Amino acid sequence: MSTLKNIFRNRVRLVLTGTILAAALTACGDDEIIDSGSHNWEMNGNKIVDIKPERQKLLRNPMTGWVLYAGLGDGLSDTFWEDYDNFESAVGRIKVSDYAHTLFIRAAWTYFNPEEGVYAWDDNCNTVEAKRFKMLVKGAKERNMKIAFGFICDSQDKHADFTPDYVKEAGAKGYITTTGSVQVWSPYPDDPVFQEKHERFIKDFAARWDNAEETMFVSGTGLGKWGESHSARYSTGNETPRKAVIDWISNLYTRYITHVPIFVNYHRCFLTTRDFDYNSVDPDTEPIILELIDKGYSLRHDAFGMKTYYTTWERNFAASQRYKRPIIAEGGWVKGSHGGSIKGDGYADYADVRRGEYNEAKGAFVNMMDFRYNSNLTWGETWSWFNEAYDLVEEFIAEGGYRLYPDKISLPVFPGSSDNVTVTHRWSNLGWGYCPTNIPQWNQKYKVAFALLDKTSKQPVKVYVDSEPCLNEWIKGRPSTYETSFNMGGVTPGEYIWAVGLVDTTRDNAIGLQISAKGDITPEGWLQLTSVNVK
Amino acid sequence: MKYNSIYRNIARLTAIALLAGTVTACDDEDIDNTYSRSNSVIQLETSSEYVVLDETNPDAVALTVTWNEAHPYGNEFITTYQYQIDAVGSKAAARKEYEDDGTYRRQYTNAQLQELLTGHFGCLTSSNITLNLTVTASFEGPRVVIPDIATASVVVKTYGPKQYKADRLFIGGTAVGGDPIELTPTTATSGIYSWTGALAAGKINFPVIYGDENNAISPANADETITDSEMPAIMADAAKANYWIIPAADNYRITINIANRTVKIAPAGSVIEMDRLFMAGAAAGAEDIEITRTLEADDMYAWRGELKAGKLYMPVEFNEDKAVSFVPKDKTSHDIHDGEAHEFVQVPTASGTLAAYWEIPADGTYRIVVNTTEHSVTFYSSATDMKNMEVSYNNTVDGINPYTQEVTELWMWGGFNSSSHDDGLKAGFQAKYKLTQSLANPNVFVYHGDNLPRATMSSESYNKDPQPGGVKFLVTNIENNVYAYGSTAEAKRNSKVGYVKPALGETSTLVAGQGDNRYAYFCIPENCNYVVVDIEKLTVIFDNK
Repeated sequence: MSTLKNIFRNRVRLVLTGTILAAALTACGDDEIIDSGSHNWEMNGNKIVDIKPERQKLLRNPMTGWVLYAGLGDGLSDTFWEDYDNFESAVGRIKVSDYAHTLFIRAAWTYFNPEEGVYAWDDNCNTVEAKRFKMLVKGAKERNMKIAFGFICDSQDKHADFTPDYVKEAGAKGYITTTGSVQVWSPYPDDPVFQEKHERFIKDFAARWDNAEETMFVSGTGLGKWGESHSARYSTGNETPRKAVIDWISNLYTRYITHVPIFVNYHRCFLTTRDFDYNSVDPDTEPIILELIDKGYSLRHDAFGMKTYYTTWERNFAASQRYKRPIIAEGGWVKGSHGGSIKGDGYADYADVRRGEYNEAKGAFVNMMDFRYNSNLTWGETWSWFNEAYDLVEEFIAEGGYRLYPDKISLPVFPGSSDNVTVTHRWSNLGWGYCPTNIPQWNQKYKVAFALLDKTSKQPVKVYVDSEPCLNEWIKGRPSTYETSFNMGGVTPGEYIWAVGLVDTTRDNAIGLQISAKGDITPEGWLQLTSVNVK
Repeated sequence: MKYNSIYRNIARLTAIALLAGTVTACDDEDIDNTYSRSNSVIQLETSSEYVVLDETNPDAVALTVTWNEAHPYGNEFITTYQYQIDAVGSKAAARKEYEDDGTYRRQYTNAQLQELLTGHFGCLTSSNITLNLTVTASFEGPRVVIPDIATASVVVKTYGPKQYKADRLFIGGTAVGGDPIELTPTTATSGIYSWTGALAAGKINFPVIYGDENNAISPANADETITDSEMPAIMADAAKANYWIIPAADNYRITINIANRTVKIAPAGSVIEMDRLFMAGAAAGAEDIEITRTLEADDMYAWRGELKAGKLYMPVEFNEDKAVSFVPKDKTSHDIHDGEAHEFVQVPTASGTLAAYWEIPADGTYRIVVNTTEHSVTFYSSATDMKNMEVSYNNTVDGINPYTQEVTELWMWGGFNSSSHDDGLKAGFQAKYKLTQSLANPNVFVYHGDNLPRATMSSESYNKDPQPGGVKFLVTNIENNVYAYGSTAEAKRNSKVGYVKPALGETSTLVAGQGDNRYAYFCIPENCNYVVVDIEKLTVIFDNK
């Protein structure tokens, strides 16, 4: 019955007060699981509250849902937000920010950092790309979206230098490639001048943006072709510096970015010098990516739905990391440039491509999917999702990522102000992904909490944080039940409202995640359960 | 209606199999199948097995679906109900709804069900549609319990325009006299019905039986007189259908094309039935020579080559037989009317070509163009033949300016194919996107093949807003800066790339030359597999054929 032990996490709880946390934050293991399928729901003085799930609404929780993409180059529309606020879809004009709550700005390092020590977010940085950056960030905040970042250093396949000129001028060594009729320069990633300049950039970036209030995630190493760690070129002409470069770049990100998730591409030839070959798996790649995961990286892949690029190795690797790290899916097919070649993968049309990407993402239990950008707003991937696969857009909001709710809670309704009480509560995840509280940047900061709300203001008078439930363990189809005992803590006798919430313990137990329940939820996110009369 | 026990058992067995497969991957977990089976209690019922939607009563309830609560497994289990409805044959995703509020019932009005079927599921109007209904109760708790699944099916007849379809099709009316004559399609899937026989002067239409409907293929207006060409025809209720008028008793050839929604009723002798067309006689030599159908027009056949002086006629192959031939309408004249279209008629090959034929005046090169709609043929000797267009431009590859070239080939070039190229050719040039010069007119070039790609890419680095499917037409593949046929879009070299976005089937104007027109592209419309360029009239049509 060991599997049942894992599936149905029935725990015996310690007495907690509203402020005992730190020690318990590390208690999310399997040691406390007991072999029991029954719980004490009907206790004297307790009332059972049944709660219905909310299955459709966009909850804007972190690390789940659709990601809207933007660049900073000339292809970006000056009316980006107006365009997306009045976007064509299968159900008429819609506002894309009603469907996506992350804006992923993936662009050339050059655009973020045009001069040494000068950054696109600085007030005095007025390059056209910096203006675009500010326009994007301002619009995202107005739409209750968080920002995600990706910095591309490599200029292969690009029409401009993606590493700032000041790096080359400082003596960094690099190489020239030709894109169409344009010659572009990229630094060797093992070049010490490049590394020194890039370190300053990441450090300064982190000083400004390494906070979960504004930033959803930071993606990738930014090295290799497309910034996706393909077809790297080192100064030696071979792969001798590869491991040292990976150590350097991963240490750089993990050293400075400690509060928001960081992501790395998982594919079979990570930062090798070779082009992708679906018949060949680089033997060093898997241990390298596992090492990065151990350092704190989460996972992304940028070719979901492309049956040559996302295949057995990628599927198996994603499966091996399921619920250990969240996965972000980016589709591989690009409507504008791949045209009829989708038929080579057996797709009849782009509705079929979207379905293929979706099914592959679902198979990898991903947390987030992508709305990529195309300057032709009635043609690209985002248009395609909203017009050729609208049902999947809604389905991912409803069923992708994570969606947490308690379906049943047994609470004391006439407790004494200093009584020890027991609350039995059961939680489900309606999404196929998971809430990644086990990543080091989150470190189990989100917790279940019960609160006594003031009957008038609906503000918490007393918060009892239950440190035991680890939200990352809430997996679809496996409800988790807890019996939690705690002392009422001498709260002033009187009438209150019991409420439950998912709080951020790093922010004074303010609500951190929205519960996906139907019911009376305060604007902050406390789900009101029942009246309680504290004696 | 009680749920279908066969469906239900199949569904349950499937669920058991799926669960078994899942659980075998776990340790040594037990599944209490016996317990689960004994607690499969959901009954799914519908208010009717067959529903005819009533357009005149949109708000009335047309269908009610109900089910009962699943077995109560107690506090330790979460029971989740999912209701699903899908239409057989529809590509649209099934509608799935969770039922969390304990309302074990769904109700649809006539208008709601019509919209669900014809809107979401894309089903046909005035048709019978089978709806499959499923309720799945899933149980999550300390023991694995297989879902309880109940299914039911309902056939729903939608309202709206009649379908242009026939299970059986007849000829009816006073022109037929007596009982209607039942027709069979030429093949099982053609949708084409043909009949030849005697009709009296009188009225005619074509009764149809489709499902439970009695309809008729008929003219839109009462008592329309027949014409020689294909006549538009509607599908109407048989009791209210109009008729065509057959003006005089004769042998008639009738062709009904369901896909095209047309009827053709013509005197039998004027109808051409042809699979292939040939030339025969002393001018052609010992072997018949085929005159092939042109790419640009289905009713046009053309050939160009060497003929001997002497007799020529044109056997028509139909059903592997050459029983009929084309000969001059004026059977006493053998003149080829060099360069001029003139009429032909059909005669029995064995007897009719003895006296009626063309006389090729001298050995030489001839172009022959046959139009089967106009029943005309044109012979072009070397003296009268159409010439290839000549263009002059700066040939930067060979360093010749001005360089004069006859246009005998035309290449599609632009971002549409992502600048892909064949081995040995410059970027953007692919043999499969070279247009074929027409045999009927050397100034016409045609592409007919797979749907053209519509990549969004620009060959001009200053173009920051490339459009999908950009294409122009070049007279050679030596380089992309040669004499070109572009669009009328505003464009300027090194400054602005322009696009014209024609619709499928629309005729657009070409701009010829080696100037800024090279930066004025057309956007190939979606689903385009057919392109006709006329460099004399300076027109292009993108179409699907």
